[in-house]
Amino acid sequence: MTSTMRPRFIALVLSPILLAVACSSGGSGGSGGDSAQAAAGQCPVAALDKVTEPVNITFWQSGLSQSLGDAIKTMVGNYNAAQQKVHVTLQFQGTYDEGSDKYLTALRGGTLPDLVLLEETRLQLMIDSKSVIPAQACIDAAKYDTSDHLPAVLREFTVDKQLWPMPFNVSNPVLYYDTNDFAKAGLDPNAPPKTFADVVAAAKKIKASGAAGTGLAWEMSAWYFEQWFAKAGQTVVDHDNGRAGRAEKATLNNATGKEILGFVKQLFDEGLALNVGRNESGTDTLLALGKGDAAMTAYTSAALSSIYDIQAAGQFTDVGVGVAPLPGTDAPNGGVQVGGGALWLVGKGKSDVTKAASWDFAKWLNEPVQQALWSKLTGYIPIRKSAVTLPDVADLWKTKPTFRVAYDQLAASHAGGGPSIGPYKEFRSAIRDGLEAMVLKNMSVDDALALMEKEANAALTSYNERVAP
Amino acid sequence: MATRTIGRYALLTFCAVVVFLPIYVAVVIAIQPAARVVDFPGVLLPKSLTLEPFRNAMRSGNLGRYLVNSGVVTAFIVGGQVITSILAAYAFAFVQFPFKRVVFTLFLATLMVPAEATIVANYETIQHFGWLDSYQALVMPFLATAFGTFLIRQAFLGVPQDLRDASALDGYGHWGFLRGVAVPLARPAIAAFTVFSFLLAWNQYLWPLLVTNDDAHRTVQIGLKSLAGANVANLNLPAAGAVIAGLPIFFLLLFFQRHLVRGLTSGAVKG
Amino acid sequence: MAVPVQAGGAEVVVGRRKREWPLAVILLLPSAVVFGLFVFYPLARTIQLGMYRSDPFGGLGRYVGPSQYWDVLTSESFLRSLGVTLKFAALTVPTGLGLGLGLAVLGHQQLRGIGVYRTIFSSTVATSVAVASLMWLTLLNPSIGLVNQALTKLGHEPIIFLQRPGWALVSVAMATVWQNLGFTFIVISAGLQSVPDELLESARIDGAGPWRRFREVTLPLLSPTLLFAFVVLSINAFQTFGQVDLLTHGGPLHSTELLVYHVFQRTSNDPSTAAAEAVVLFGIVLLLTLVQLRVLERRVHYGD
Repeated sequence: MTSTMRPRFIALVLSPILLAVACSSGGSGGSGGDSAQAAAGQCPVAALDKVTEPVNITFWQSGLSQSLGDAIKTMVGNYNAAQQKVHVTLQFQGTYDEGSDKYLTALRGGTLPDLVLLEETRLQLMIDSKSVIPAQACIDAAKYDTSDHLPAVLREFTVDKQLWPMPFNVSNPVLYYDTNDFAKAGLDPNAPPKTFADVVAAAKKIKASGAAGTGLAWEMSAWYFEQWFAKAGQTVVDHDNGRAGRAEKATLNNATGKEILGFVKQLFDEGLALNVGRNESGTDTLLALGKGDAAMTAYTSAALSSIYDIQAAGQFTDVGVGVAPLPGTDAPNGGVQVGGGALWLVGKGKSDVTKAASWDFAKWLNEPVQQALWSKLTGYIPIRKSAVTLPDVADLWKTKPTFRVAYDQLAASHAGGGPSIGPYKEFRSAIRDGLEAMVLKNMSVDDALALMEKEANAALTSYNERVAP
Repeated sequence: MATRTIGRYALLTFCAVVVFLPIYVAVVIAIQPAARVVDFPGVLLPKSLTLEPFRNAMRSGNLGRYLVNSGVVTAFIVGGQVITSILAAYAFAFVQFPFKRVVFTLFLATLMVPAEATIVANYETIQHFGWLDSYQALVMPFLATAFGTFLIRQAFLGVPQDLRDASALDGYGHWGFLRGVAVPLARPAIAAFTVFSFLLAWNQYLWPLLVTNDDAHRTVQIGLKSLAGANVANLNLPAAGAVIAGLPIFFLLLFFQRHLVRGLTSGAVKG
Repeated sequence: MAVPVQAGGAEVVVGRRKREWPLAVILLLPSAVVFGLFVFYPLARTIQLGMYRSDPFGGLGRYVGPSQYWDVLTSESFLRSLGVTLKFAALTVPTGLGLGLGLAVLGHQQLRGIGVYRTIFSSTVATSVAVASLMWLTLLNPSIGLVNQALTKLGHEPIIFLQRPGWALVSVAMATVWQNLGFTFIVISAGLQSVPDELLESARIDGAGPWRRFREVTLPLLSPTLLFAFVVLSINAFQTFGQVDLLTHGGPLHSTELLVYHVFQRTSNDPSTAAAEAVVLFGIVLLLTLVQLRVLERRVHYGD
């Protein structure tokens, strides 16, 4: 019995190997979408005109859970009801990280979605995957006008003069502060801190007055560190943050890096900040504000809706919600960068009608009306300038001016896009290691920066030698 | 004597309180309005009750359908594992065959392969069979486990030699001995293993997330993880989800424990 | 299947072997197929992958050979995670086994209402890793965790349990021991139940006190169960993932970065290094378990 079993079993076991080898050798031959002429042929936008039956497309979203997940369900439902040509099936794939990992796994011969929403940090990884078509190809083919989009949003997703994914849910970091605590500490609630020095001064007053436990609730996140570089008009990796060629080295160990870490170190040395750790739940810094453990914190603008929801439910009502642009050192060529998700049009193994259908839905989600509704449902920043004149946004801004802070901050930004690098997760981990070593183990600013660069460079080198040898 | 009894109860109660505290906290948080979460110690003694968190959790986590899927998948896995484990354990305990030690070591070795190491290759296999988005994908890779084989083998080895000799005299063949003597005597171990197998199957997360995309096949842990995401407005949503996902198991445990105890007492091995 | 009695003793054994060999195959086949297809085959794939330098997109990439295993084994980050994992095992396994045994002995008493206590002691099996981690988060969260709310009420500074070096690993260990407790309790209770009352009774008649009865009758008979629980807890410790993923994400400063989590973090972006690490991890656990079984199985009493 076993003797007849064995050859079959081995064949069964071997075939996926052969398949995988075949796939991988086929995949590496592709050239990626680097030529603009080829790009126009890549996106057959007209294919949808001829369809007689609805085209079904699968849309993977990750990162939007709970009320955000409900909101994206609403958007998809609206689209499906609004037209007959395309039917979108929405599938939730977990956190941003899980969604991205799942996409990479599906690349190994599984079923890829037709459209996928991923975090902005996956930009270079998705380009390198050679499985997507740049939105630029569709924009060129359809002569789609992007002049109404916020320039900072387009810059974030543009590499080598090509807009890769269509932007969708966008936020940026702002300073949340408790206006009541500010008043108690003798600070002007209408004059929030603008620079690092302002933050330190305000924190000292807050702590001394006992208005809150301490000045600032701090999370061990690389995001703010990157944003402070951007505000100062600096890149964090070479080749213009990887936008004008593949990034090879981190550019963290400089005057800007020293200024930022010096600020963080001062906060902790003088007991002006409360470390809540990595804030993986996404609520810890805000809760510290709510409970009066701190009076300020930096966090994503996307949390503002939730903050008002929670107060409407009767919690933390003694907090006066103040929102201000992220304090830091500014430069004329600087400003905040976009955080959030974007829509990737999958090309690998997809038919013309499917590609056209994905483009149609992505384009629809970018319409000012949809962006206004999306912003109202979630608190994300509308990415269209004309969206802010629509009632869904305008009315909200009238009653709650705090909502426009993040939009204004982004509209005023002159920063280029954030780092376009494959090993983004490892890069952030490197920065966090330096921050944690400094705050928790009392490492010096110089040593912490050196540690960050060493780990970040190792990650970039390892990625580049495997992906672009 | 009386003080001793009181002492025993005091010790038992103390241990029970410590063990049960995290569960109790999750339950009381889940049945009160979110605002109460930060009202310590008042939150520990619920005053105003609400089912709202459960409704929210059921809806945003799509827990209704997912609970059914989890139930189906778990039933198949547990059934399969119990059968394959009993068979394999029997071979290791009572059947003579060459390279037994080597084969047993190979079986045990499967326990030590970290699932994270095999997950991508397994995805390719499932994909190759065309099983993505199906119950097969969730069930097939888990139809055997060395845990069960090991645990039940241990119990089989505890079957006294004279019982084996006696049944040989009675003319029992291997199958008769398996059904009539070995399995009944190993019932406590099989019962304990069933509980364990149930839990592992019910609690899978990474694999179901990988091989399923549609609501028709996803399991409750995936819904649960989506509730763990951030939302300050619903501080008690994770707790509510945890309670919902935990309840079926808790009731099964209550039900099963009587069986467990019966199995334990009736099947006790008498030397 | 009955062995013909008229045959000579030595021939019976031989005859049996001849006959039993196919039976063993039939009995083992279902498990073997599953293991072959879903454990050993992917393991072989992983071993192969560990000798390449792959991109994250499914390509095998450049062959570098077995030397990558040595590179991994001697790399700073792998050794650091190995150290964390050993510490974690030392924190969880003896504690888990001790508490499980203690509770099982407590729950084994003949008292009115003992069933309620038994249910409570086994109740943590009703929690998955995800559920248990969410529960511990509600306790240990720096701002709204009940422990910190209590500390603040008592005038103490809040402790960032999950993100302070020193505290973080202990907290994860605590959640793990707690989550495993129900399982350990059930398994050891099952073992206790099968200790024959007659043996204990006769020991009592011989004048043995409760401690001596426990040590000389119960414990030896319990040893297969304890060995099982010990091996399972050890393997669990080496494969812990979910708690870290939900509670600490390996931080702060990698102080809770257990091996499986370390490997998993790399898997998507650097699959070949992750594969090599997973294989080395497998080798370590295999070796440890074989040593455990070799050393301990000699002391285990199987009742015949």
